[in-house]
Amino acid sequence: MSMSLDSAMTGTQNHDDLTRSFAFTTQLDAVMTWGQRNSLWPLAYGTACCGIELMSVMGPKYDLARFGAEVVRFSPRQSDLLLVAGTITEKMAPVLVRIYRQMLEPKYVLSMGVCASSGGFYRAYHVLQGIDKVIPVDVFIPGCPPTPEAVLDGIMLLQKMIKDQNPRPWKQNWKAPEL
Amino acid sequence: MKHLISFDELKSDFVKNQSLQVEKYIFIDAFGDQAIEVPKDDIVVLMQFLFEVKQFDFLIDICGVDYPDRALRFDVVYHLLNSITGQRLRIKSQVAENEGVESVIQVWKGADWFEREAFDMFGIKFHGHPNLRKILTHHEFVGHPLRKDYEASRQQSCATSLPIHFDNEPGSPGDVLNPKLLPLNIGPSHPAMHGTLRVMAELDGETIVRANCEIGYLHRCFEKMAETHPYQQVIPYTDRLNYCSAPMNNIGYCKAVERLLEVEIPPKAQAIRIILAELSRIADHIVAVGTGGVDLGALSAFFHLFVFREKIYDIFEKLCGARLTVSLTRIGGIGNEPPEGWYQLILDFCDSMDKEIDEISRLMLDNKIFVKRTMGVTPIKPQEAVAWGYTGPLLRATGMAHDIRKLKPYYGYDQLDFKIPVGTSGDIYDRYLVRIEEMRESVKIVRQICKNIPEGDYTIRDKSIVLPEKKDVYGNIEGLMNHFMLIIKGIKPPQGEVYDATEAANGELGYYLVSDGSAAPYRLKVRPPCFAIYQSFPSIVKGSMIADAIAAVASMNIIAGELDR
Amino acid sequence: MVKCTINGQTVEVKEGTTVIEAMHQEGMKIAHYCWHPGLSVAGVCRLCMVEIQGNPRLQVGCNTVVTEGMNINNTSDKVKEAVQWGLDFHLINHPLDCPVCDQAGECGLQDQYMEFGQYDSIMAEPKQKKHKVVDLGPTVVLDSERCILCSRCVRFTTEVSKTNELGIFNRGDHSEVGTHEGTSLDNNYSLNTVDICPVGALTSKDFRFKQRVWYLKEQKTICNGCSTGCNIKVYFNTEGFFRVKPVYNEQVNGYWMCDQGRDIYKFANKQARYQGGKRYNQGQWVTDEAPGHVAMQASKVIAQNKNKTALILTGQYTVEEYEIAIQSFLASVGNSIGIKNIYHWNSHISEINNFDGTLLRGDRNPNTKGLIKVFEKYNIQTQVEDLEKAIEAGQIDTAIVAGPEDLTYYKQSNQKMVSLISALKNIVWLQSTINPELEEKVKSNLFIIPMKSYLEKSGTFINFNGIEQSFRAVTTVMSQALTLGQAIGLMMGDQKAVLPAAETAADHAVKPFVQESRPASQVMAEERKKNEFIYKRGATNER
Repeated sequence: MSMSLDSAMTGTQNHDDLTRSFAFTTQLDAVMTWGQRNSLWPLAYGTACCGIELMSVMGPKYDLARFGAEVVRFSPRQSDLLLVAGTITEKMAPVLVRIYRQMLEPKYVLSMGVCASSGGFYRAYHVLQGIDKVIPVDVFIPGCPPTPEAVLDGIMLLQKMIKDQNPRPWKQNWKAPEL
Repeated sequence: MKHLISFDELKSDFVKNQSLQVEKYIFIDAFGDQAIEVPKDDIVVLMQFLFEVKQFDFLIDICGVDYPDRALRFDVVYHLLNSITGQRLRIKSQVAENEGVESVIQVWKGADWFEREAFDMFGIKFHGHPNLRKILTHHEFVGHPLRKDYEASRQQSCATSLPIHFDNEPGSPGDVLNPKLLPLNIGPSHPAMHGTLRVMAELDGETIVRANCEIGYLHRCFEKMAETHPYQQVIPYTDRLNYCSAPMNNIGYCKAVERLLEVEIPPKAQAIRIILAELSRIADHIVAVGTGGVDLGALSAFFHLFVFREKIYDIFEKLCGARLTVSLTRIGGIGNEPPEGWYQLILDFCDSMDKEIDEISRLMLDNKIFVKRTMGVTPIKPQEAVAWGYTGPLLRATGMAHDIRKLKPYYGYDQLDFKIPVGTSGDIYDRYLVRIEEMRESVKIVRQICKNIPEGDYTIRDKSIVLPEKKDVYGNIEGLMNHFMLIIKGIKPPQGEVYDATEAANGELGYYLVSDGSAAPYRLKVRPPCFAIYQSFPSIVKGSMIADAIAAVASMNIIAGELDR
Repeated sequence: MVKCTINGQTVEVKEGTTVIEAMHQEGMKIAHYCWHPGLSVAGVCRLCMVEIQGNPRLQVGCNTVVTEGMNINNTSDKVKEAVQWGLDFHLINHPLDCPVCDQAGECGLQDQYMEFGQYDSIMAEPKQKKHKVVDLGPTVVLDSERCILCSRCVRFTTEVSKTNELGIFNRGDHSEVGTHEGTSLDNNYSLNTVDICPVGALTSKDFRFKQRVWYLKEQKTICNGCSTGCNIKVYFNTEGFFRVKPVYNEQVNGYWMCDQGRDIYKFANKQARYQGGKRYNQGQWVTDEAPGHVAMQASKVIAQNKNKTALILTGQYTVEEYEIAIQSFLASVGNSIGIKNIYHWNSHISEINNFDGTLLRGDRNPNTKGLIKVFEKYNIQTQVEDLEKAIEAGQIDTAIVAGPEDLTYYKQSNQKMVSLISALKNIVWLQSTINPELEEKVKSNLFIIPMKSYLEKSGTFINFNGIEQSFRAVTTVMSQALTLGQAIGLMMGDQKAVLPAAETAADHAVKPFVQESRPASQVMAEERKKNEFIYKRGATNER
């Protein structure tokens, strides 16, 4: 895509060159998903050791902000990505469901670590064997705790899912519990 | 020379007291621990006597043990510590299933939550306790999980959360709210609540009239998992207790098991364990100071400090491959030989950490806003702190120089040159001051050791305890068989019990280990330092403002993994 | 009686006892591989060394007879070193097979290395290669590399099964166990060689690679394959039963058991059992009903035909069950017609006195004698021929049949019985294992009630010799299945289904299978169940 110097100087445009036009065409969905995936506002729901690793992910070395997820909001009304990091116990489960229900669509859930994904190595009387028992999950990140690179990989996978508009099939079927 | 009281002395003193049935007492001296089994009616009088006369000022732990084949099914176990001589004493008492035992809350305020936990886990009733209800399991939970007939994987789901409630006080029951005051619920999903703590308060304007904290949102059943896994397999579970300083939990646990097995680890392993402990202490204090600042709005300190936490992660990763939950120690030593250049890496880290501590000192402790928000806020006197069971930086901030590394040194701490920083008033500012100074002292310790690492092996080579080297496991049949048998059949320590404590970042981390000779622990009770500290929260924040309550929770450095286990 | 001192302890033994037998009696530990109390002495492993006072060299304990005043010691340093070197020599060519070897967890080498060895190996030569998977016969596989040439299996085939199939061939490093030319290890006691092999050289084709030993629990019980009633232990876990091994009983079976009995666990596992009660009525099958419910339905039918109801029993149930069943039947049906309609169905009545010489008897029912004893108590003398006559005469309308557990020995007899009673109006068939013949042939009103296998019940069997042997329930596989006492009780209209005396607190202490009876709290809450997504593998939702 070369521009001859004189046409740049004279201001004449090659009307095939869209980079210098004042408008470009795209699909509405593409723009929408571009915006959604590049500005995820995470709700860092860190309960246990994965919470500390999440702090590292958001820290200076493995910067989560460069993926657009810089604005961490602790209110579910203001965030769209529920990053569950850490073990969720049976006591915490109703609280988690409440937080999930308070979030506004479109919302995504990322289960970080094996404890959130499946109960981890706690096959115990007070540990929820995976948050997918109570809320629908988009991406599971295994690891105990997952290395920050793995978390970033998970975020990128979520971004790809948003781009492809490919939510998990169980999400449509999820019914909130009667309260 | 510290005068340690012998059993004969105690016995003669007991006999002078008419109400004690000394002829029924059983005195046990095994594995270096002193224990007395007493009938349950004597408990309160005995505790009063030991506290006032014999100066056992610390109630370290209360727990239960289940022996389902006995008529008197439960053992209620009290651990006491004399902070001047460092002598420990264990008092045990047998209780039947439907009976109860008198609560010792009248002697020590800090018995509060320990007794509630024993009730929750076993169903042991403590008469005279104002608030005997569940603390760790959820309110819809039926049964007592640490009893031997409760299956470990039998989950029970919970569909609701409890409404705002408070502790019962004389004249005002806990579940009745005062209609004139504003009830406020903070957490458990809250930025300032360090994960999973829930604070409920009744406010008059901004001042707190009543406060209560609810815990158990991270109760991961560590003690039940310990009972169902062999000794080596418990080590990864201990990692997840205080996850900010994982090696310290590993060290505490392995130290207890080694005492039960009566083995002494080689000097090189001891030195490396001290390095790991002090580095984890620095890591833990980084989190405490960093997130404490974040809760008050000071974000820069967090970002500065976490760079150094990454450096510590690098050091751990070079040793074992994992960053956070490391499982670095094994029973008998440490997991593997440190690689080349590891000590030099640590020495470089020490140099940079020194400079960083100076910078953080200036950034936070000299900051006017920080000073105004933390100085004079929720101070606590040393006697009250001891009554609650405070240990660690919070106790030292009140002015009491109590540190297990100096009181009962282990692993060669007595040969090292380091000081114990002590505060004056016990307020939040002093706590951060103590933590930052402790980081400095830890760096000093690590430097001293890295310069004189002893020669030798990094683990003992007892074939019935320690796995053989990989070259033997894959190389010859004897190594393979040894490995197989240790993994299948496990390590079998002798029958007995032991209580071992180390100075962790938050205070005294103790492990009470009961073994019945089989491959898994019969009972493993963890004495978490922040459990005793957090139970004082409702009474400490009474009368201060809500913002101070946030600062107080942050300064206590409550790690939920340790608190709820 | 001879007195001697072993390891400082005074021991009194009979004349002619060897040192190792004396130590075995007292429960003292001594390393050994080739000695077995049920076989002759070989003295090839050289591990059972003992130090005898007055003798400068160490002696083997298996071939040294105890004399008066002998002072024996096997804990001194000299003995320890000798045992360690002995173990080292045994392990010189042993392959590193622990991860794939079935014997891991119950291996003589592993256990004795940890107990007596714990030395560092200095073996630097490459190991000798031998034949790995040698098919010795229809039931046993040999792995020559793992064999330590203790010769227990060879002595077994010579002395116990007397079939002389095995031997040790070649010399030195190349020695291997093998079968003689033209023979294979094909006798009715071949799997005992797998039990006595201390290492994983001989393995059972049936149990190979099925389950790791440390995941199995074991419990002692009685074999129900024939009327000998060998003492056995079954190995099981929550997935089912896995294998059977003999237990020493001086009176009944000694150290051994036959191969037929090794299969009995298969009839207790879930795959072979009725999962729920079945009913057939006018061309319609109703399946998957609770057994108790089927029994209640059957009781209505029986109530109408009381006088024409017959009870047909096999000798496969416990004595206590027979008591309750017969008592309850007689109380309800009565003997108003003069003859008690209870019949003993024994498929092997003609072979009742067959004996193969070692253990196996012709009568394949474990409790024939027990049934006869209860019959005598109630003065019942009817035989199966009487049943045929009664059916022909039209006196029987309804039959309650308590069928056998193992149908393989009842094949023809089953066909006969089914065709005999297929003419009747109503049939209630009680059996634990599936009976396809019955379901195909019978066209009248049929009730099938699943029974508990004998491994799930506590009771008593009386063997051919009159020896009463009691056993406790091992575990529960089908928690809803009924015992004979319960089934008959329900069918006779007794709503409170009387439990047999043996089925008391001891049985309730047995933990049921987790899948069958999970407590309600372990089942997911309703809304969680609704939201659970069953992921179908291979579904193309992903791009």
